[in-house]
Amino acid sequence: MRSYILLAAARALLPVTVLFAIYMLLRGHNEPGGGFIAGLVTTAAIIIEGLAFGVAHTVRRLGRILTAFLVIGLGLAVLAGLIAVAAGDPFLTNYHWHMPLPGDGYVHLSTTLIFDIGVYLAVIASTTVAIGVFAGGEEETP
Amino acid sequence: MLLTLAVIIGIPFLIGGLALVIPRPWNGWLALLAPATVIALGLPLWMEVGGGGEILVPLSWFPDLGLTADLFVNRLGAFFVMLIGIIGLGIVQYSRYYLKEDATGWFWFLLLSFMGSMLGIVLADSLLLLFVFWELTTITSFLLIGIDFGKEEGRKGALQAFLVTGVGGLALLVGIVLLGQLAGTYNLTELYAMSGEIVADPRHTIPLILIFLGAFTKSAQFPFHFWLPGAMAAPAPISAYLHSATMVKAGVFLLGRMFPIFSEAAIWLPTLATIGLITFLVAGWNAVKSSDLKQLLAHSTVAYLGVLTALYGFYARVGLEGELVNILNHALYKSSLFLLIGWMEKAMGSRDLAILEKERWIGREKLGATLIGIGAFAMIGMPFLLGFMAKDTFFYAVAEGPIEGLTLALVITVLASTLAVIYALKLWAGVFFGSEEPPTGRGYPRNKISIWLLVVPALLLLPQVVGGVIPAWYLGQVVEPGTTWQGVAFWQYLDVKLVITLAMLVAGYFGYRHWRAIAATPFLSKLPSVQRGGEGLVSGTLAHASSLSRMLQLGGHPRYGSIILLVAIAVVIGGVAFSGRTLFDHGLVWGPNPEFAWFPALVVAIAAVFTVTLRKRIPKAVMMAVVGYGMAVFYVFFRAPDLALTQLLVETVSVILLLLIFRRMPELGDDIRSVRRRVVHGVVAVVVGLTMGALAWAAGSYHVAERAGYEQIRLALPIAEGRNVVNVILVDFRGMDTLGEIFVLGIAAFGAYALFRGRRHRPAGPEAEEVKR
Repeated sequence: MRSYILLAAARALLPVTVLFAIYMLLRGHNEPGGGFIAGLVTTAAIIIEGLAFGVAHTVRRLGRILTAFLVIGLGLAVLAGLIAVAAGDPFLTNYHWHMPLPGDGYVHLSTTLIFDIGVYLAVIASTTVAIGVFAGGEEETP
Repeated sequence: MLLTLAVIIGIPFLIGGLALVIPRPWNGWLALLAPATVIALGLPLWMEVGGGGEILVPLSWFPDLGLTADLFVNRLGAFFVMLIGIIGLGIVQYSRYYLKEDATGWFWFLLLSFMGSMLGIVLADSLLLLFVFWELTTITSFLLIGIDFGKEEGRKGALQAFLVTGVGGLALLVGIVLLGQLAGTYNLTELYAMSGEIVADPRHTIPLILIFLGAFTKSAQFPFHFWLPGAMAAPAPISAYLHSATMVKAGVFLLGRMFPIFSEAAIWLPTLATIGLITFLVAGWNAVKSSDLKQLLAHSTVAYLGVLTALYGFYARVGLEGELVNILNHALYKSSLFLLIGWMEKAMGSRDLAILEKERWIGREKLGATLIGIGAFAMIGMPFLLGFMAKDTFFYAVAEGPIEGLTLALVITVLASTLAVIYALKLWAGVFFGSEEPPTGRGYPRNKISIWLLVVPALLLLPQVVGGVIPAWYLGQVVEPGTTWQGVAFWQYLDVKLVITLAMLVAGYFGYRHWRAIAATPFLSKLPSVQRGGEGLVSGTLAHASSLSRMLQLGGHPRYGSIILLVAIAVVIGGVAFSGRTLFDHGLVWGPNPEFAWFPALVVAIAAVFTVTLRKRIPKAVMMAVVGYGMAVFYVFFRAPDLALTQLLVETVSVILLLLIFRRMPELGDDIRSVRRRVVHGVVAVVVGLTMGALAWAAGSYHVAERAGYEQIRLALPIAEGRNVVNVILVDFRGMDTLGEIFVLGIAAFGAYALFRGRRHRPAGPEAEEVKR
């Protein structure tokens, strides 16, 4: 069964949701959010995409990126820890920088952010891969 | 200095990773860069510490646990860095021309990761860091040996090597931990300083024996020597690298690292000398029996490893003289011989002595045959080769000074050396003797075989010749700078060692003439074969493992679930019972008490009842989700927005997952369980539910002076610069846990993927049967 409402909504939903997820990810250090939650939000969006356009279609479009996310995510998380090792501190010691912006504001950058992005990507990849595995093999939604 | 060492260890891994994504001709070029960098950075290290002295680079790992990742370079370590680098460079260049299109990104990744792991072993100061790299070599060598996993031979050899070295690795870990507990430190440099105290404590024997086990399995010492010949299924360059300079040398290297600590230990000399010499003899005998030249080399490798092991025993008596010469000698001639046998297979179309000994290859393949001849001479220890010097130091170490059982050691040495002469001559026979004109067309045509297949072994044999012709300069200046090398060339040794050598050569020659008869001697050939015993051990282990899993994997999910839950509950109840307190010492306090908490509680309870009673899968899943969403409401009450958000999302995603799975499953239908089973399941559910509920309640009403959380709330902003404490804990305070968790997630996804793929694409035919087995 093909729902045109779902199709139309899904087309707009994925980018908006991913944007929202990234917002959740970035604010996570100070407000509710963070890599894990953002990852699950993105997964939900990808699932809606899959339900609307068919799993096979979604796997074809996103499968390679998502599996790459697993490696990249785990790699980023380890990298965030190794930065400290390179600087001579114990593994996973975190650093913070305040990059001043024009005016009064600043951007708070930290190695925890790299770590959280790693978590984000790893969560998306592992949940979508698991779901794709169970959803796959079915005939495509017509 | 930290940067140098980090680059030496890291660059092979880095380039190995890159080789996975870079297409074929280019990744081979790139791979050359790894050993080249190692050599370029290792040479200054060698210049600095080759004559003695050491460099210690502190690096913290888990400071709270007193663990360090300190790196340490001394003469032995720097020597191995150069050895791994130089032979590695030769192997990479050879592989590019030998494997051609089989040299995939995966191959380079494994080979270079293996190289990096070896470098990690030789540069670690912390024994635990050494162990991590040790296990990495076990894994990468397993994958390298089995790189041709389509062949059963390759899989079997890899599995054997993995099981033997893996078990040894576990022994080593226990040994290291015991040693660390005994001495109070895991760092080699600190252990060296307190070797007197360690040896004076009689408890040092147990860790030492366990460490020996690690070294003996890795270095294929008797009775673990059976895995090495099995590992010969790998292509020539892999065998050459693993079994000359690296993998098996790791065990010898470990002995070298332990020498300064334990050389005074009572069991050091007798154990190493006995095991080493037995290995030398047994493996030599196996080599004499082999007709396949690669198998012959494999057995001879084991034999030489026996020599190196025994030498470390004897060094306790005569000092470390000749340590590096012997390791270098073997690495050079054995790697080049393995590579030459690879070439031989291509050029002559066979490596079977029964065929090759009839044919006179020297006429056609002059360069290759000569090189094999030089290699075989180095194996015997003929004059004007480094092998001569190496053999001389060995005889010196065995014959010098009185020890108990010396005569026996000497007899075994002479006997085993005679065997070495026999199998070296067999190698000769393959190319030099024989009368028939070699056939054309059995191997590859000459223009299809790259000249690099001969140039690389030739370059590796060059130091053999240089070391033999000008030994004083070569050994004193290059190999062991700072030492004055006793003796200049072979003619100085007009003593008992020369007599031994001559006797050995003559006996060896006659032995060679009649090797088939000797190998077939009824008495000797009936000796119980450790080879077969070892293979039986491995297959027995596998059979035991599968019968054990059949025993544990009985019944369906209700049983597994019950067992897991009941064990968890038993632990909780047991813990409370033994603590001498009850769960409600602090009274039955209801935490924050919003008036309207009864509403979500009611919803959760009703949904829970429906989850159990409904007889359709999908409504069940939806009701379970309602329970979950109800829980999220409680998180909101407790002012935990992060938990609430996570709970909602997890619930949503898992409902979808369940729905996807349920689409593939049959309808539930009526409950067909017997009354007894229903009662049992009900009891389990009620007990588990009540216990967990009581535990949660008790945790909520338990007030301590300062909760663990307050500390983290207090520190979140000043230390981690974050106001969301949950996130700060996840990514900063407990970052290591999170890292572990996402790895578990990744592995779980990988597992689901592999299981599902495995079900869909089960291979057909006889191969499938084999896989199942």
